[in-house]
Amino acid sequence: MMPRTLRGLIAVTGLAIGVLTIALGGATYYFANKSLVDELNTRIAVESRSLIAIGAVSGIDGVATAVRAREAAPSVGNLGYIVIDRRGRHLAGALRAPVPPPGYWDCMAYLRADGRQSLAQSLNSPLPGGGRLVVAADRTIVNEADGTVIILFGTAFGLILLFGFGGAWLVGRIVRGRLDRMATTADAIMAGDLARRMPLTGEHGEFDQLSTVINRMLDRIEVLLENLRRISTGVAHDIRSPLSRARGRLEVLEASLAGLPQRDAVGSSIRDIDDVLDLLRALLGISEIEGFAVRKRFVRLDLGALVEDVADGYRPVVEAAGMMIATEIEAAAVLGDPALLRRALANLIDNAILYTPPGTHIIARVALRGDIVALIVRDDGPGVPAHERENIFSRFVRLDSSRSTPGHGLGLNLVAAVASAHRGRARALPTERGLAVELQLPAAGALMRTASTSVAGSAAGSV
Amino acid sequence: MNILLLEDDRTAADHIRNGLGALGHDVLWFSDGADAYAGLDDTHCDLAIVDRMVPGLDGLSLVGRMRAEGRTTPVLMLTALGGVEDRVAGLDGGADDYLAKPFAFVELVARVNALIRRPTASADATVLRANDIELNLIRREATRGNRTIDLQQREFRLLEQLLRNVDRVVTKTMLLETVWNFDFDPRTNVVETQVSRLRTKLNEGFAHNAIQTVRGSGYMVRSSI
Repeated sequence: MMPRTLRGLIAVTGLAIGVLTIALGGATYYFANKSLVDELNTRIAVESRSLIAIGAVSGIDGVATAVRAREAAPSVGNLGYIVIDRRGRHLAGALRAPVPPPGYWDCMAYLRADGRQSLAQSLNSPLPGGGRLVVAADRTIVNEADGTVIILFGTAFGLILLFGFGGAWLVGRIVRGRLDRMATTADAIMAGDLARRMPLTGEHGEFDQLSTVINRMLDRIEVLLENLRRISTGVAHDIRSPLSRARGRLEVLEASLAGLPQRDAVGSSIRDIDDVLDLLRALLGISEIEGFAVRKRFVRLDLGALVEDVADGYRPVVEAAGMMIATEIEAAAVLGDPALLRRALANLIDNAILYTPPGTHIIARVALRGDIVALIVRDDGPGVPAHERENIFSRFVRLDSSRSTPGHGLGLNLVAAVASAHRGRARALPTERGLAVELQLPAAGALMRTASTSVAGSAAGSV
Repeated sequence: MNILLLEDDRTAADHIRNGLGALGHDVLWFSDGADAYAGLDDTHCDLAIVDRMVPGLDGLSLVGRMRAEGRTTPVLMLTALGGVEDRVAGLDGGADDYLAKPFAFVELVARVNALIRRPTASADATVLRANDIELNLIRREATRGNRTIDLQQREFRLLEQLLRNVDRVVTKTMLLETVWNFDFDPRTNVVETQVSRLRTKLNEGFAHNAIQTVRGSGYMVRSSI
């Protein structure tokens, strides 16, 4: 299974290199050890055979004599001997060790001439006519070689692991760095900076190739968006101008018809035109907000105070509709456009008034959650079916239940546009009852203001 | 009153000229910004109605120059750009009020009247009066006859706007802008209900209706019965 993250890839690569190193080290150790042991075994086997041959000719005493002669020779090599008779008595051989078991034995402990403990490998063979011959070779050379191999591979393993992980980490870091830069750019583009492009290093590497492709795509999107914007504002403008003129003429006509029955028809024509003009204005307004140019005007503002003020301004109309409005305010500052935030909030309260029955409680809340300020308008009316919740922010969406109420279905779309212009988002919260719309906005530092809660009527102090 | 009108759309200009002319104003019309700027020196004008996008010198620059030269002539800016951005740019640029096209003529008239009155109804008055209604801006106190009327903050601001424009129609849009800080028209009757509450408080025990509704236009407080 391929790892899905860079970190995973680095771990898997490092681990694979490590396992490979261990396998290679193990194999080297095994074969080096085996060839050395085999060589020693060959030497003791040859020596044993020649001594057994002597024994076949001159008996066990001949063997003992030959052993003593070899031990007395100046260059004895590193072989040691033990000769015992059939009753186990020691006849010859200076090797200071207990008699090993018959056959080859790889770890015979013995005392060296200098009195130190050492290991030898030995061959214990029967002598013709009884008695046994032990020929042993010191294993120090094998152990030293083994040690060297282990140290060599241990070091190599460590180094490879270090370079493997280090390299993989470095590659990962570089890749992540590039990806992060691309993600930052993508975020900036999504946040409305349509002129931004993916960074190029000029190295013509894979990332540059990818960036170039993405940049071409962004160029195309920008052109399409610009076309769309130009067409829609052009159309809106071209519709608006003749409608405005027609409206003006109708207004003059209406004034001249005072007292005549035709006046009403002219009046309702004016209202129809106003309706279309309102729609155009709303559409152009939303496009303007979505263009994020409004951010130039952002100021640090006390969202709680703004919400209190708007809620207070709505109190008479809410109460006239037989409903209640309350605020729950935590002190919170945001960077924003007060006019837009007022408009978004007013849209939410308007919705609550228009689409819920008398007796509804509306709550406007400002809650500070870490570096997010949540602005929530909640009602306990009939709410929105769960499967429609995602759709309510789309343009021209009108739920079946609200078809009879006038409106263009742009109110919540504007709310969503205002939220994203403020680098936030709008969503419908899942609720047991009623509708709760939440705007999450980035907090702009702390506000020195004590939290307050007010219920209907009490926020608007008398003067 | 002499009104300077800078508007390059002939239909719109005619509409405004005829309408304001019928109300007794003298309208001096220019379709080019540079001409209008020159015209400022030749004639005295009490008010300038300036379209934002015109040939020559655009409306915003014209207002900028007027203010830089210390001219205090009230300016009502008109624009086909009904965007959020433009309103603020217009007001920041020195215009006294701002009206997005298309507008109902009554809206234009109400704003023209409010602007022409502005210098006389001194902005720093501490007591506003109309007939038997008195509003003390310092003590934040409202009285009718000799009865004190307990007003909530927004009701006070609403009455203040109406009294600052005594005998003139104040439109719903003007009230939304000044009393609610709303630069949009909400879908519920926010203004109507608030006015009706205020009216109930003011009228209690009085025969005469303190706040008149001018059908199709707005509200008005009269200085005499």
